[in-house]
Amino acid sequence: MDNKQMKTYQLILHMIKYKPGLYLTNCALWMIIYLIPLVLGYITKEYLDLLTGVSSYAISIQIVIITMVVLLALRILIIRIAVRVDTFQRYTITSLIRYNLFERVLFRISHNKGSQSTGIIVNTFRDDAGQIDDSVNWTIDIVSNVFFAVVAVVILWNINKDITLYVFTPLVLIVAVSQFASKLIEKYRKMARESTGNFTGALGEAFDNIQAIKVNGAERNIIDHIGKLNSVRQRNMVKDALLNTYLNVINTSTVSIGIVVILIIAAKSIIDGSLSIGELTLFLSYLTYVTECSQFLGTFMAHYKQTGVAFRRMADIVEVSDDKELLRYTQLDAPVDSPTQEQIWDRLKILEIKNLCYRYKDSNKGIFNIDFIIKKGQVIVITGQIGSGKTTLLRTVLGLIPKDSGEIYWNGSLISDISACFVPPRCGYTSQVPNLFSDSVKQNVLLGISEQDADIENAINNAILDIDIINMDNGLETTIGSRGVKLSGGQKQRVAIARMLVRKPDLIVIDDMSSALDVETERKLWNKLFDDKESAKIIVSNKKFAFQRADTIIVMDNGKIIANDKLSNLLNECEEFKKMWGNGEDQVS
Amino acid sequence: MKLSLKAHRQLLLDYWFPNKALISFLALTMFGSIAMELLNPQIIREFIDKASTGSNIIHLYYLALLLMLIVIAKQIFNVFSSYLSQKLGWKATNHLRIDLIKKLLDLDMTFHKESTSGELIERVDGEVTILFNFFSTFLITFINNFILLTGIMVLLFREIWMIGVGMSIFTVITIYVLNFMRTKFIDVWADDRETDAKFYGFIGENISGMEDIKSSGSIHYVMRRFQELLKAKLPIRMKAMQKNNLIWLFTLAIYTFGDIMAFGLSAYLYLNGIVTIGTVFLVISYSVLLRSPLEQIREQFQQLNQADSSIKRVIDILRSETKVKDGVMFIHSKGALSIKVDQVTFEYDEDSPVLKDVSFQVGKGRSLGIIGRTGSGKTTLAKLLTRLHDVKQGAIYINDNDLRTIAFDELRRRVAFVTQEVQLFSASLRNNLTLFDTGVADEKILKVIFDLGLNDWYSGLPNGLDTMMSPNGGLSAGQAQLLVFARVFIKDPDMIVLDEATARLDSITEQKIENALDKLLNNRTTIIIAHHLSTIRRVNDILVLEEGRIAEYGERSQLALDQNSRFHDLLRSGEIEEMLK
Repeated sequence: MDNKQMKTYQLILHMIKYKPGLYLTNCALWMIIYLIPLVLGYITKEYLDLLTGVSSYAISIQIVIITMVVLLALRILIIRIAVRVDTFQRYTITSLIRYNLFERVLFRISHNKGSQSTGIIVNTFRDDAGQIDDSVNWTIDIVSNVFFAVVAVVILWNINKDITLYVFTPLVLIVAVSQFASKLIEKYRKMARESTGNFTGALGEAFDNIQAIKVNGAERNIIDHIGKLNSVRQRNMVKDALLNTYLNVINTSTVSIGIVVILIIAAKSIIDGSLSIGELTLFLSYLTYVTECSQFLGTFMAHYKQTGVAFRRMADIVEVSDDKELLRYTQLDAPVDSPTQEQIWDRLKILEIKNLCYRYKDSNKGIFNIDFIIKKGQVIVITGQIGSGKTTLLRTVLGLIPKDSGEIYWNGSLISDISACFVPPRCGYTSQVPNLFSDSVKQNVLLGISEQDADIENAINNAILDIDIINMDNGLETTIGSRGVKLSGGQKQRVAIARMLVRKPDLIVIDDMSSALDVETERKLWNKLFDDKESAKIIVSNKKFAFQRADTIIVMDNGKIIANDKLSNLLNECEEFKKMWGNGEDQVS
Repeated sequence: MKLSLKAHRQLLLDYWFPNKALISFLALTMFGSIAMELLNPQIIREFIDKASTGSNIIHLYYLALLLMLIVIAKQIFNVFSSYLSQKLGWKATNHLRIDLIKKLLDLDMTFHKESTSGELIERVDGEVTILFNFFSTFLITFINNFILLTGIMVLLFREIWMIGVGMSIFTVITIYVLNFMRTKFIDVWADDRETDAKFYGFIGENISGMEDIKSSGSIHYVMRRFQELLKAKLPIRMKAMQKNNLIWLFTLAIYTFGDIMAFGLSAYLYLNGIVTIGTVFLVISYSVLLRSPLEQIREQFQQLNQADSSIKRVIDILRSETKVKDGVMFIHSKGALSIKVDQVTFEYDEDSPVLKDVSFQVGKGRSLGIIGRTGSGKTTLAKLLTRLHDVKQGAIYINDNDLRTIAFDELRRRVAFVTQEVQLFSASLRNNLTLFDTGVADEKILKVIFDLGLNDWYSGLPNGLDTMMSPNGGLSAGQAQLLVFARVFIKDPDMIVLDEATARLDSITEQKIENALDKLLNNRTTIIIAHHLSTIRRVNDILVLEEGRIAEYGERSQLALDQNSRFHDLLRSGEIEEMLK
C-alpha cells in the first residue's frame, strides 16, 4: 500500500496538470494583479523624489495621478476576469475530487461495513476536498508572490545593494523556522480533524437515530455525550489555531528587525545624500509587501502539511490503496454508462458455489466452506439461528463483502469479478432493512432504469404494492421523504421488492423480509414470487410457509452448512431444523 | 430579505456577551495593537525629518530602536488577541451548537421526516462555523476600527486641518458606499449554501443506502444524479463570487481616489513650504493606514453578509417550536398504568387521515394486541401512544391524565416503546444499552444481558461493555433487536408498547427471550402490535385495525370463540393451534 502513496506536492502537481491551460491562465492573471501594488509603490517613490527634486524622470504630479487612474482601470478589468477563471478552476478541482470520492465510495467493497459513519464521510466530502482545492489554488498565490518578491528585490538591489542584502536574509530564516514547526502542525491538525470527525459523526448518528432517542427520553444524555466530543474538538482547534498564530508572529517579527536595519543603514546614506527619501519609503513599503509574501509562504507551508493529513484521512476513509484513484482525471459530465445497456447475457441455468469462506476481521465469526448449487426455477431457503451466518452468506455470494476463498460458477464458468456480476439483470437483492431515497415511489422503484423499458405496473403488483399506491396522494409520483420515512416499514420493504422485481433478474436473493410484513401480505408476496419459474431464488427465512415451497433448505449453524436437503428429509434427520420447525409460526392454509 | 439587527443583537447577547472576561481582555489587546499602529508613522516621520536636515546620527539610531520596540509590542498584542478571539469564538459557537442540537432533538418527528441528517449537520456545524467570526471578533473589531479611524483623523487634523477635512470626507463616503454595497448584496451566499446543503444531503443519503444502490445496479444512475447536482453548483457559485467581488472592486476604486487626494494635497502643501517632507510621508502613511480599518470594516460587513443567511437559518431553528410540547404533570401512582384512547383521529398530511375515530381502553396491568394489515395505522397508533406525534382530534389519557399534560421525563421513564427500526450508535455497548446514561450500574446491564440469553455473545466481545458497536456492522439484525430489548429491560418501565418487536428474531431466539419477555410484561400495561399472531398469544384483549378504523375490539378469548369475528377468521386461516395452546 505504501508505495502507492503520493507525496503532497505530487498530489498538487497532479491536480494542476488536470487542466493545465486553465491553471496557467489563472496564474498569469493573478501574477499581474499581484504586481500592481509594486508599481504603485514605485509611483509613490517617484512622487516623493519629484517633490524633493531628485527625480530621474521628466514627469509632473499630473502624470503621476493619471497613471494611478489608468492602473486602477486595468486592475478592475483583470480582477473581473480573474475571479471568473478562479471560481471555475476551484470548482473544477473540488468537483473532480468529490466525483472520484463519490465514485470510490459507491464502487468499493469494504470489509468494515459501517465502520465510518455517514457524518464522517460527508465531512470528508466537504472539508478535506476543500482543503486540497485550497492547496492547489494557493500555489498560484505562491508563484505570484515569488514573482512579486523577485521583481521587488531586483528593483531594490539596483537602488542599494547593502540594504537589500541585510533585509532579505531574515526571510530565508522564516521559511526554515516554518518548516521546522511543520511536524507539530501536522500532529495538531490531525487531532483537530479527528475530533471534528468524531463530533459530526456523533451528531449525524443522533439525527439518524432520533426516534430511538425520543422514545427513550435520552435527549439530555445524547447532548452530554456530543457536548463532551465538542469540548475535545474545541481544545484541539484552539491549539491548532494558536500554533498558526505563533508562526505568523515569527514571520512578522522579522519585519521589525528589517525596518530597524533599513533605518540604521539608511540614516548615513540619507544624510550624505546617497539615498533619497523616496527610495527609503520604497524600501519600507516593499519590505512590508515582501514580508507579507513570506508570511503567506509560512501559512502555505502549514497548510501544505495539513493538506497531506486531509488527503491521508480521505484515502483512509474510502480505503483506497492507490492514491491516484482519488485524483483520476475524469470528464465530470461524461455520459455515464446506463446499467440497462446489457441486453444480452448468459441467462442463468445453473449457479454453483464452491468452498466459499469469509471471516470477519478480528473475530472467528464468518462463513466457512459453503457449497451449494441452484438451478433456474429453483428455490433455496436458508435458515438458521440468529448469528448463524445467513446474511453473511448472502452478502459474500453477492460480492458485497469480499470472499476470503472459494469460487462461484455461472453456468459452469468461473466468475472473476463477483460484485460486478451479481447485479441486475443477472441478480437482484433485497436486504432485511432496505434503504430508500428521498424521491417519488416511481423513481425509487426505477432507480435509474428507463421508464419505457420497465414494466413498473407488473413489479408493483407482484410486490403487493398496488393497493398502497392507489391510496397514496399522488400514486406513483408520491414523494416518500428522506430515506422513505413517510412510508410504513412494510411499504418500504415492498417498494424495495418492487425495485428488485422491475429489473427481472435471473437470480433473486432476499434476506428475511417477514419483519415488517403482516401474515396476509407476506403470504401473497411469497405466492407471487414462487409462482414465477423464470428465476432462481435464494431466500433467507424461518417460515414454515417458505420451507414447504422450497426445493432445498439449507440449515446454517456457526457459519457452516449443517444440512442441505428437502423438507421431508430434514424433518426426519436434522435436530436443529426440527427445533426451528417446532417453533415456526405460520402454516399453509 | 432584510434580517433585522434585533436578531444579531439577540444572538450576541445570548452567546457572545456572557463571556465578559474574555471580551474585555480581547478588547484590551486589540486596542493595544491599534495604539502601536498609530505610533509607527510618527516615529518614521521624525526620522525622515531629522535625517533630511542632517541631524545627529545617534538620535536616528534611538528612533530606529524605539520603532522596533513598538513593532514588537504590536506583535505581542496580536498573539494574545488571536488566542483570545479563538477561544471566545469557540466558546460562543459551541454554546450555540449545543443549543441548536437540543432544539433539533426536541423538534417533533414530522420535522425529522423532512430533513436528512447530512442537512442537519450542515445546519448545526456548517452554518455555525460561518458564524465563528461573528462570535469572536465581530463587535470588537468594529469598535476598535472606529477608534483607529478616529485616531488617524485626530492625528491628521493635528497636522493640517485641510488634510484632516479631506480625509474625513473620504472616510465618510467610503463607509457610506460600503454600507450601500452590503445592503445591496445581502443575499449573495444564500443560494450557494442552499445548494450545498442539498448536495451534502444527497451524498449522506446515498452513502447510507450504498448496498441498495449496488444491488439494484443503480450506481450509474446515482452517479448521473451526482453529476447533475455538481453541475448545478457552478452557476450559483459563480454568481455569488462575482457579486461578492464587486465589493472588493469598489473599495479598490475608493482607495485609489483617496491616494490621489493625499498626493495632490500633500504636494500642494509641501511645494508651498507649509509642511516638511517627513509630514508628506506621514500623511501618505496614514492614508494607507486608513485602509486597514476600512478594509476590516468591509471584511466584517462581507462576512456578516455571508453570515446573514446562516444567522437567519440558525434563528429559524432556535425559534421553531416543536408541535409536540412538553407537559408538566407527573403521575403519582406507582406501578402499571392505565391508558384510554378517546375518539382519536390523526393525519400526517391534510385530508388523508391515517386513524379515524379510534377509541379503546387498557386497564392497569392488562394487555392489548393490535393487528391489521400494513398501512392500517398500527405503527401510527403506537407513535401517538408514545407521543412521537400528537393526536389531531380526540385525546389519549394515562391514568386519566391527558397525555399532552404529562412531562416528557415522566412519560419516557414510565412508557417504553420498542420500534420496528433498530437504531444503534457507534459507541460502546454500555452506551448503546443505557443510551449514554452514566447513572446505570454495570451489574444491572450485565444481568439484563444474561436474562436475554446473550451471555455467549457477550463473552465473545473483546472489551466487554466497552466494546465499540457500529450501527451497521458486526451484528445480525436479530442480535441488534435483542440489544434494543435490553434497553427496555434496563429502563424497567410501567407500560410497554411493542411494535413488531420480535419480528426479526428467528423462532429459536424468540423462544429464548420468551421467559424474559413474560417477566417484562408481568405487572405492566402492554400494547403489542403484531403481524404475527403468535406474538400476541399472551394478550387479554384484541383490537383489529382496518384502514385506520377499529374493525373489531374485544377480549381475546371471546373473539376467538365468536364464529363471526375477524379474529376467529384469522385464527382459523392457519394459526389456531399456535394461539390456543
